[in-house]
Amino acid sequence: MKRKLIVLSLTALAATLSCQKEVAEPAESASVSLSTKIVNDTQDALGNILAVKLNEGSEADFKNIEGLVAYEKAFTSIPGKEELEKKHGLDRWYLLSVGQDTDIEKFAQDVAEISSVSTVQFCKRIYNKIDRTSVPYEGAATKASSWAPFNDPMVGSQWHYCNTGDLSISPTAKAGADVNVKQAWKFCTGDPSIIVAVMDEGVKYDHPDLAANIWTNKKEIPGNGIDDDGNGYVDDIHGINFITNGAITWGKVGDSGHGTHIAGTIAAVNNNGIGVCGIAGGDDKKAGVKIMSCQVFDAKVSIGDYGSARAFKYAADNGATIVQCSWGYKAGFFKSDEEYVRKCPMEVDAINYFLDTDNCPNLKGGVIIFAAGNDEASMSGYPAAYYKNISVASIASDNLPAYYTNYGAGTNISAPGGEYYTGGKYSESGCVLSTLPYENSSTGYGYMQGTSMACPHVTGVAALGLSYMIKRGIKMDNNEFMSKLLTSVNDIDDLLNGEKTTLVGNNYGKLALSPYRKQMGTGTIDAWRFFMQIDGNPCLTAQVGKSQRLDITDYFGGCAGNLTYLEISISDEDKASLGLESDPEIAYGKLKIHPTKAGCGIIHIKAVAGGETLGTGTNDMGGMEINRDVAVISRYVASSNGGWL
Amino acid sequence: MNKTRIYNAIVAAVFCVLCLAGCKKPAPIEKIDLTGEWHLVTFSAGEAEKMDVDVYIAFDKATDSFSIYQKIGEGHYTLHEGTYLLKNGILNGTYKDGATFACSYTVSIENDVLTMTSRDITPEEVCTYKRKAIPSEVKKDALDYGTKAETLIRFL
Repeated sequence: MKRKLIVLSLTALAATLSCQKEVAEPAESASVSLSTKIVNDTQDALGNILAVKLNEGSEADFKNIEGLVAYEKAFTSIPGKEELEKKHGLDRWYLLSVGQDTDIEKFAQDVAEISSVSTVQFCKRIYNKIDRTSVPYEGAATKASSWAPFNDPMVGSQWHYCNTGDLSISPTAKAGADVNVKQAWKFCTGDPSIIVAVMDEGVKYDHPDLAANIWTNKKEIPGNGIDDDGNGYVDDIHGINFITNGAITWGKVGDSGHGTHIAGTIAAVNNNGIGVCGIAGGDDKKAGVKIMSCQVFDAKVSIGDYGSARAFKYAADNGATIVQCSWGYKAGFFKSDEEYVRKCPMEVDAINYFLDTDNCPNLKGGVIIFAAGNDEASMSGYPAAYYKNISVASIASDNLPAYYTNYGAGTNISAPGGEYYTGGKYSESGCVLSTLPYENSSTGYGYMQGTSMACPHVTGVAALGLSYMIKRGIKMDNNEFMSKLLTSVNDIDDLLNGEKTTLVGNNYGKLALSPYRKQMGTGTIDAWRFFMQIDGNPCLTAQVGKSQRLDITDYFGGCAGNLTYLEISISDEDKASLGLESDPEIAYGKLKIHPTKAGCGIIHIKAVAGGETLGTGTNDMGGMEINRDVAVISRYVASSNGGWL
Repeated sequence: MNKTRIYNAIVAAVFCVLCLAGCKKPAPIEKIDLTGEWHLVTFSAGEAEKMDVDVYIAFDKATDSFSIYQKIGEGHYTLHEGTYLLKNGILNGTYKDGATFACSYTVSIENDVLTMTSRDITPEEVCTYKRKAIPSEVKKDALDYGTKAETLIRFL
């Protein structure tokens, strides 16, 4: 046995080394098989647990592995969901626990030897995307708002919803550097049937400015110690702590209030006369969207990615349509979709399961939104950069990139995340104001900065948009939803010249802006534009007999001029209807077309949200695919402002 | 006839000519009255309803103003307002934002059908409208073009 283990170890070592340079001779089939099965390494991994996936149709057989303490199915199977679980391989994942003295690498090799095993994965820790500091709100809660329709006394300090350019926010605050929720709120403020899972530190579910918008698992009887609904978790009333498999917690030493802060941006209760507003927080007549707490950070402990995988499944199985994730790996830890998929297969399977789950009658599938990361890197971190997830970068109150934000490859969109040092002056007022546990702020409110704070703005707008779809009776699938979300933006590229004063290194300095051009995703999210997109886009009107360039910002937002367009196509029938002698094309962000007849047609346009190439899961980091159908009508007359006469 | 009488007659005639020359000619009464609300039926590309084009126009003669509620394709109705001038059966107009109509139109009304034909454009754009009250839900849904433009073009 011992000799066999030595041979196997040496062979595995040889196989590992052979992966780092060209192999001169073909490796033995057993060692190639082993190295292929073990998909990652032990760097930053939990030392006592292994995730293992079986081949299809196989049964678990781990009993004789030396060092094994216990094993269990990684995911609880839910009645009625077996088919979907099987489709995404969740039924074949197991978690194997070993003793503290066990050599986890050797253990992994032993497991990989089992013929029924297809994948062996070390469980990596996930990371929070902030500096874990907050500044309590201690001002008098009377900052009047001239724009918000709600009576929440601190909304005037929430510039990130509607920025009036008030220089008390920061010395270089700019009007319009916000998510433009002001107009959107006239039409919709939320819908209580929508559940948003906040995968983060525990959310303080009894915060007075959150409690009314916290999800409650009505199938679970509180405090009886029984898994009443059979979902694999006991007393999961408002969510679950995946680290302890127990109650949601906050306020311990090491907890930052991160989860509660994020929850407030999405769904702090609006118009209740206290505190702050949430983007989809409803109003006093109708409740807002509901927050489900999926706790994956507990004080200073972060879970392994098997926990995040379980959290994705929990969110899917318990009704969430959107998952909000302000965490991930450092930029560069994974450099491509292919590497991430290969090394985190369990998490990827769970992500795909969530995306394939229909929990809202108006939306087919789910949506996952991640923070891009705060490494000041020219690439998004993973899992945010994965082509199926939306990756959010951060802008400050000056409408310019925050000094800390990741940008570039893998980044899909931007939103306000705040910045302490905007304009060369330290001030928390330039950060994002939201709810906090009393352990972190005696007032229950405070400021934070980060792509962690930018991300829930996109999540909130997504939830608000979905609420609007319900109100309007509009249905679509998640690909169309994300295409519209990612094109509901304002362009900031024209602003990215010169420099801005902010924190550079450890001091105030000048941050060059040109590196961020075309690197902040499609632009900054705009809730009002999103509502207009949801309502449907008007036809573009072209004039017969003229070659013209039509403005497509209604369809592609302010980023129309900066996107990479991959495909422009029109059916032969529509081409004939419009009398097109040549195919339409996009030049400088406008649709170039020359109709020779009065008629109508649909032009299909495919573009990339973030970058110049599409992510496919099997290649380098790429952007997300956007698909829009642009309707065109041609007449003999066309006014300059689109008016009919 | 003596010379004095002839002289007086000439003076009177000249006086009358001068008076008439000094009088302003009465303006011809415009026979076409666009006042009311109209619904687009057909235009150059065909029947409006089939093309997903829905346009209502309201003309108010008292204020020389017009309101267009239009929805071309999906989305909301958009409201375009402005002032118009109808003279000798030729319609011109200016939107609130300063843009003018795409062209002048020759208008005619027969049996409650308004026909507008583009002028100086080849081929002509011929649109027909029927009298129809603008539904309240259309007015309620409409976004003022100015508001939409302002909220979408927000910078900076």
